Amino acid sequence: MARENREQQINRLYRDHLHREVRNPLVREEKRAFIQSFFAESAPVWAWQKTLAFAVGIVAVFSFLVFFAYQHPAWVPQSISTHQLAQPAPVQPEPILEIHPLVTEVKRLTSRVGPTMVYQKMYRETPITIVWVFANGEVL
Amino acid sequence: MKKMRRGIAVLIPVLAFCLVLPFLRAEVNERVMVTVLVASNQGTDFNLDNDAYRDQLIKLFSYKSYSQKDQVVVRLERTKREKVSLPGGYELLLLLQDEQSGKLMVQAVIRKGETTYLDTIMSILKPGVAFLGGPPAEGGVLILVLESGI
Repeated sequence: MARENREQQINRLYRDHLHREVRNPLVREEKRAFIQSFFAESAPVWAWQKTLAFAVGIVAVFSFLVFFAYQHPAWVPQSISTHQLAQPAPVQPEPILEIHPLVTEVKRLTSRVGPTMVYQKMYRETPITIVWVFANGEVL
Repeated sequence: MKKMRRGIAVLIPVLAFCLVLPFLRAEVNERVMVTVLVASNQGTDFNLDNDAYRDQLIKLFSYKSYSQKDQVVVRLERTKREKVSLPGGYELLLLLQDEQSGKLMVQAVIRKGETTYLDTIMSILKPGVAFLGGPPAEGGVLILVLESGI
C-alpha cells in the first residue's frame, strides 16, 4: 500500500513537471519557431500568376481602347456646307483623257454652284486624282 | 500583398501611357504643298515655277495658258483647319481627317464668301498629287495642285 502511494506521488510529480515545461513561454516560443522553420506553409504557386494575368488583362483592355480610339477618333470635323443641293446630271468631259478606275478614295464631293466630277489619270506610273466643279457651265 | 503592390506600381505607368497615347497621336501633322494656278485659253503663256507641272497640265487639261499665282506649304493637323487665300477672292480650307500608311485623308473646301464652290473629302497618296479646279477666276479657271509627301 505504501509502495502504491509512493508510485502515484512520483507520477503526479512527473506530470506536474511536464505541465510546467509545456506551459513555459520560452519552450512554447522555441516550439513555434521550430514548426515554422521546418513545416511553414509555402505560398500557393499560382499567386503570382494570378497577378500577372490581371496585369495582362488590364493592358489588353487598354490596348483595345487605344486601338478603338485610333479607328474612331472622337472628334469628327463637320462639313462647312450645311446642306447639299440636288446635283444636276454630270456633264461629259471632252474625250481627251484616258480614264482609269480610282485608286484613291473620295468620300464626299459636293458643290453649290454646279455639277462635279472626279477622275484619275496615270502620269508616269503615278495616279493623279482630279476633282472638278463645272461652275457657270465652264468645261475643262 | 507585396507582389500585388508591385504589380499595381508597374500598371500605373502603363495605363498612364495608354491614356496619353491618343493625345500624342493628335499632334501628328502632315505637310502639303499647294500650288495655285489660273488656266485659260487667252494666249499661250506658261508661267510656272516648276517645269515638271507643264507636261502634267498639258496631258490633264486642254487649256492653252497656265499662270502660277502662288505656292505655299501647309502643315495639316487633325484639329485645325488651314486657310489659303486664292485669286478672285476665293479661299481654300484644308483639314487633315486621317492619315494612314501611304495615304492622307483630307477635307478640301474652295469657297468664296458664303458660297461653297467645292467641298470634298478625298485621299491623297504619299507621295502623291491631286488637282482641284473649276471655279472661274481672272478670265480663266482656278486649278489647285495639292502635293503630299514633300
